Amino acid sequence: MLKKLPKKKIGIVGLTSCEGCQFSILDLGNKFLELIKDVELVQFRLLEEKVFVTPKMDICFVEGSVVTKYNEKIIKEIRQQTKILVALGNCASLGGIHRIKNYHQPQEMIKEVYVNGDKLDNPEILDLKDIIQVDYAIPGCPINKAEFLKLIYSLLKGIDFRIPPRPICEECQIKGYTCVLMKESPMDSRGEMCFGPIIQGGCDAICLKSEMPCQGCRGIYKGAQVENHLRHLENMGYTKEEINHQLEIYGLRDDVEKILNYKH
Amino acid sequence: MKIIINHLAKMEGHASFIGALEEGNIARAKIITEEGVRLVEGCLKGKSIFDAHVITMRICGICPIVHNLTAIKAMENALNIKVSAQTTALRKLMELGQLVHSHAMHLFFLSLPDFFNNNDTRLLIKKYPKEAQIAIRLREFGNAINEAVGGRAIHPLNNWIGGFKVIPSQKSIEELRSKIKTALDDAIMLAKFFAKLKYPKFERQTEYLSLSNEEEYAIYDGKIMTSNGFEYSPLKFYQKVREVEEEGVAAKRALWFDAHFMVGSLARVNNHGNQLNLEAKKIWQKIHGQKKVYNPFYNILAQTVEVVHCVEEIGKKIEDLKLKDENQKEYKILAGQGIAATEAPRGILIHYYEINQNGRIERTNIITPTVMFLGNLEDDLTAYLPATKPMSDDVRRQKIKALIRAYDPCISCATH
Repeated sequence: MLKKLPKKKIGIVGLTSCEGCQFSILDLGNKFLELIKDVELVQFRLLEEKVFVTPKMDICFVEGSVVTKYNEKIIKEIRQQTKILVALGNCASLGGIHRIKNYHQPQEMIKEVYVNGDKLDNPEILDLKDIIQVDYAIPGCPINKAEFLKLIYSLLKGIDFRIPPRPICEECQIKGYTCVLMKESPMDSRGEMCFGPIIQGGCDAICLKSEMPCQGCRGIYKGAQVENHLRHLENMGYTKEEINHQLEIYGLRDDVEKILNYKH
Repeated sequence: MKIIINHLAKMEGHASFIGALEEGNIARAKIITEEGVRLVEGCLKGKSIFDAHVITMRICGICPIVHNLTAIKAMENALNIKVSAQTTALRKLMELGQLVHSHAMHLFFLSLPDFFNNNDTRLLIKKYPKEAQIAIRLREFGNAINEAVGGRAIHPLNNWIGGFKVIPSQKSIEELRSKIKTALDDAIMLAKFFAKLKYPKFERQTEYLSLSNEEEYAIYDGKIMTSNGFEYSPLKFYQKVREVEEEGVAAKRALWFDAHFMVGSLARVNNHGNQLNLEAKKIWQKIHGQKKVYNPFYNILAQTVEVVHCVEEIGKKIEDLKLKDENQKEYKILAGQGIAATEAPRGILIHYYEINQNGRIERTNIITPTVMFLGNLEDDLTAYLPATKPMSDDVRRQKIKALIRAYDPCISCATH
């Protein structure tokens, strides 16, 4: 007689973000309802409202970055209470769009938006992994729902899930999309500033399907030839300033600077 | 007595409630927003005008479409670009899909538990499996539209300054067309289900603001109208509305002629419900006739009626849709300012930009619907609290949460 194993305790938590990754999970619809039958969902504030104490968990998915002191307190609690911590999406993995402020004097920037800015929490935005230990990350802005399911079902079976490092170009070429680096657009004869060759694949090159250059929401993959590609973009006619502005959108600029400094 | 409800759940974003109820029906109510500041308006400085919609739609994961549409319209306004009729039709489809998706989410998953003094949506999914499936199907219908037209449901990709880079295939339009009958039946069933529930009796004289358009129930384009019928262009509205900041509070509140006001489904239906599509109008008038409705709990009913209206509208738009490849609009990049107003699911959304001759953004100001109605919500809570005096502590807290959630606040949008 097989003993029934207890269901794994799962949590889905948001810090500071747009919550798009959590809504992506809800967008799984019936697949999501099936999933929560296989697990014990102990924390997910979009669906339940228990007294707010971080419970013990086997796997906790965390979306968002740390901005408020309360975010800081919660992420430390979560790390203590959960066996496995998964960074959900670009904000948790790389800082998110609000990391842009790190590169532009945040203490000045807040004064442009708020008169009483000095009373608000305005820290430098960090990757979650620079604050606590992160065991897995699902990249993207928003996440790829299929990737989320692959990860959670692998973890539930005790399988270590890793995203194979490879550029967006692989999926782009398999799907036969036009390479926008080489395409003259009516607004810009240089060709588009696509980061695809250095960005972690796994999104089906969805932006390229819409003829939009990859801006790197999934982060740089291990082994990417960052210096080569940035030089190529400069040779195409893009200034360092233009490249930096685009690198900032998904929090890549500091990672790129680290990689380039390491080389020299 | 003091009433503190920490960490409101089943709501977009983080916030708490603090209230007090004293002798002689003296009450105070405050929503403390706890979402961290992201300074998106500051982050846009120096960025390309083509990145405005990319970044601003990431203000919110449940209403990214409206930020996408409004940012692009504002830039087109700055550069004096007139888009084609096809582009406008496709954008309206995106907006309609968003309304269906967002409302269906809010109605079943966030607000329904409040009718049963119940904290957990999962119990309601078990109790009403048929309605749960209706809500899921409607959300998938809304998403299908945005995937077909926008390229992705959360943070769309096809819409750009000047038009669409990629348009949906005729096949995907046919697929959408085949889903409309089920979607309409679902929307009507959901509306009838919510019409049978018991709503707290509470009314308060309120100023309702919404977009207004002679040709149709305004959600994408129009002037801004007030309860008594005055209309303002988006620019005039932007110049007259005031954003008020409180020390230590990340989300601002909006004032219109020094008073709070409401935006959202109830405001829209109150102001121009006579322009609703047939089935939607039938349902609304059956409940309320032709009168204006001042019960904020009925924002929920207004949302159900809008879902019906939107599905009918999507049906009409798809019926006439014959897509053809269009050339990108030609335009020059000039310095200037641009503004646009659209109706998000939760109410009027304004984007304002100042741009320079290099196509870079100098200044951004975004006023979201939750910023517009937070003050009014607090006024409603203050007026409603005395009615909760005879209730037990638990029921009182439930009713307070129910009123907050009836507004469908989006705290991430309010803070941005």
